[in-house]
Amino acid sequence: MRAEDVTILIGDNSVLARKQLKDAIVSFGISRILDASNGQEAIELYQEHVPDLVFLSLLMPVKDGAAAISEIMEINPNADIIVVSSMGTQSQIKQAFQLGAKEFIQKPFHSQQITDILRTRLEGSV
Amino acid sequence: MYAQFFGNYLLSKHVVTPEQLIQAIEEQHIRHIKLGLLAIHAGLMTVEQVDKVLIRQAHENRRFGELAIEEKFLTEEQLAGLLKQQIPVYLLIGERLVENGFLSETQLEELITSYQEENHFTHLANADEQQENLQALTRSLFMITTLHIPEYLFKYLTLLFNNLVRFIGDDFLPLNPILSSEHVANHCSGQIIDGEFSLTAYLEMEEDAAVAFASRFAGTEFKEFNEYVDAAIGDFLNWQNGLFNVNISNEESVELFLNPVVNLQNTMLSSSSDMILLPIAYPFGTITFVFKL
Repeated sequence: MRAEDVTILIGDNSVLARKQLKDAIVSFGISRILDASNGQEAIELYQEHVPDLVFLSLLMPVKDGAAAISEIMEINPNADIIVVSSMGTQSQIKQAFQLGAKEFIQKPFHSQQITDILRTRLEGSV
Repeated sequence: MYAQFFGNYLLSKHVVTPEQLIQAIEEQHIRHIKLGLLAIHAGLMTVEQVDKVLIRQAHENRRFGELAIEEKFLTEEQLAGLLKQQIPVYLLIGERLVENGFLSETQLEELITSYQEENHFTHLANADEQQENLQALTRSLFMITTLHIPEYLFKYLTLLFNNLVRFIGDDFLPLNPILSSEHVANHCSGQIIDGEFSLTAYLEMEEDAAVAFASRFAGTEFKEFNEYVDAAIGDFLNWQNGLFNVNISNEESVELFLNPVVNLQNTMLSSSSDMILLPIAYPFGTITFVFKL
């Protein structure tokens, strides 16, 4: 798969955090990016587009990140979900992994962390 | 790191007014720093030694450094070090207060010396000692209030001052905290932390200050107020609160919960009991943290 064929979904209630994530992803050569400002929107966009990778915040209105991970994992048990969150206690990280998240990044993040993840998760397919 | 608290020390000694201090913060880019002041700050010369050199300088048309070396108050290496060092923000602000005629040069020299002595600062403090000093300074900010401040709030504030340095810049001065049951907020974000204890924190500022604050936070120059500027206020608060939760969880095994950040505009923040308002002056404007305990 070429970088331009990869689709990524971002779920975060901060428009600035979504922009910073998008900038990092675009710098990697990926331009098909969907964004959701709450957990419910993220679930609906996932269902419709089945993106290759999901970046999700835990702290979101309407439906939080933990609920969104659970529902996305029901839609696709192989979903690739990366949590990018301001909440990062040991128990919160553990819960995210138990629900099915593949990686956990505590905010504030560096764009390098995002591109490292893209390189690892999409290795072989990009 | 302690530089930020020198302004509050001046307020506590009633030698300057908040208005004079804010004016000095805004003008700190105008640099006319005196070498004698730098030498006192670095612990290389005493106030008396500087005065002696200044008196000689008034009679002989020679440089301060040259005379200080001749008097054996400074070595050539020490002078070279002073000339190339980065000037601490509080010295710049102190000098502005002198230039504006609110303090005399001698008064400023004495205040810097007493500030360092009263707070037991040493130039050799390690990272842990620096954090202890910072926590002590945070406590001293609240000595003027009668309200009982819970221990966790001091931890919160110590982290906050570190995060302001880290994400916004170290050129700030905390002003005196205010107790009030109401506060009109311009551009504001709020977040509730709950669990074993509950704390609602707001960060509030005017539009121009918000644009500058967001530009520093995001590392992008915003020209006007927009949705990203609005989000930056909430993101800073969210990072601060998230890191606070992690620290409390690691240090005290207490799990707290964060609620999503709420953005508010032109709102009256109010509470049945007193809220704690902590204004922090930056050269671009004052930002205010409001806490409901």
